[in-house]
Amino acid sequence: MNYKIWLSLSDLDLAKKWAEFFTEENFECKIFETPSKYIDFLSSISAGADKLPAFSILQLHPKGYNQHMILEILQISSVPVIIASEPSSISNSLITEILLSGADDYITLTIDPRVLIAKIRAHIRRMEISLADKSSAHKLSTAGKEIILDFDSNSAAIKQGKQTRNINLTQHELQILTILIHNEGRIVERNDLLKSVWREKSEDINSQTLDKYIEMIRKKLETLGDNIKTVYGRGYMYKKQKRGTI
Amino acid sequence: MKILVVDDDKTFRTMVKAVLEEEGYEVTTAENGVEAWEGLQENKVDMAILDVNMPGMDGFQLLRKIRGDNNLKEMPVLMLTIRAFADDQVHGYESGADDYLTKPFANDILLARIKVLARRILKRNGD
Repeated sequence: MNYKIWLSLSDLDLAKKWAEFFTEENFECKIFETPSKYIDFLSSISAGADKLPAFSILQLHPKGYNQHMILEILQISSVPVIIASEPSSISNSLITEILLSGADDYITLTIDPRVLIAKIRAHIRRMEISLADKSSAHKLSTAGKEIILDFDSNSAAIKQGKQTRNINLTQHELQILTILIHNEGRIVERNDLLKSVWREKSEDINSQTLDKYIEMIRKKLETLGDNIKTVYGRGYMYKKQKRGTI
Repeated sequence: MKILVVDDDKTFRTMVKAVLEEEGYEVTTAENGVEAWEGLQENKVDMAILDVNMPGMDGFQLLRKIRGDNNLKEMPVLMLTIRAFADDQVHGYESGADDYLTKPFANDILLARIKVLARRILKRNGD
């Protein structure tokens, strides 16, 4: 599998040099001239496409000019992020804040590219471990039927006995269902659901729109649709399933 | 969350233990690779912080044993070292380290890096 590396460094020459080195190491590289162009790119690609296998290296400006933008990227994107800066240009407390806000690593721009590649490979190893765990976690059984959510191909299927039937879910429907299933047995507040799926656009989304999406998902899941419960005044809940072999 | 700290320097071990406990982590310590390895057979931990330079079994040897063990191979490991050469770091990552910190380091940086690793464990278990 070819991993993608998305680079946004203010030093374009360095970005090109790194990109060349990464390409030789079999990564697919893309350079963004500014973090805001990277944000545009993130919002232009479809929702599951920013999942694996990619990650980004973003440069933090020494005076912190783009700090809020980087924090925004950390919030909206599930792509792992490595933050880079000029050596000793930013304080330990800022490095700490950025790591705690969701960045996966911090490096200085003087890093030896070989060390950087070794670091990236270590991240990938870790990502693949969690990915392998995920594939089994997204199977949910109810009364002899199993819902399988496949994030690599952005699809869902219902398996009954030996037969597997794909369900056609739109991007948003798949996201909503995933969140509900992740939180199986727990109420997912309406607002949290809106924010997770529509992100910054969530304020424009009418509450009834969400109800319609839920109605549509229930219909597509057929008998399993009954597992999605409406919790009046709060949100929705995917009913806790009994575990065990069927 | 339980963290194992392995370092032959007692002062350092005590300091890291205190910093981690202050943050609410449960900490066990060992003073060399052999002792750490024996401890790991009895009690599993969620994460390990290993010093590279130790008499007997050093950090790299211990790391390779951990990565070769079915029960332990997925445990996040952070390496600590006074050696900062690129080749050493590349070697560390290639031997299975998740992160690498050069001594001396600021306590808040150590904590932040541990939290990054802890976040990944939680993410896995939460999914």
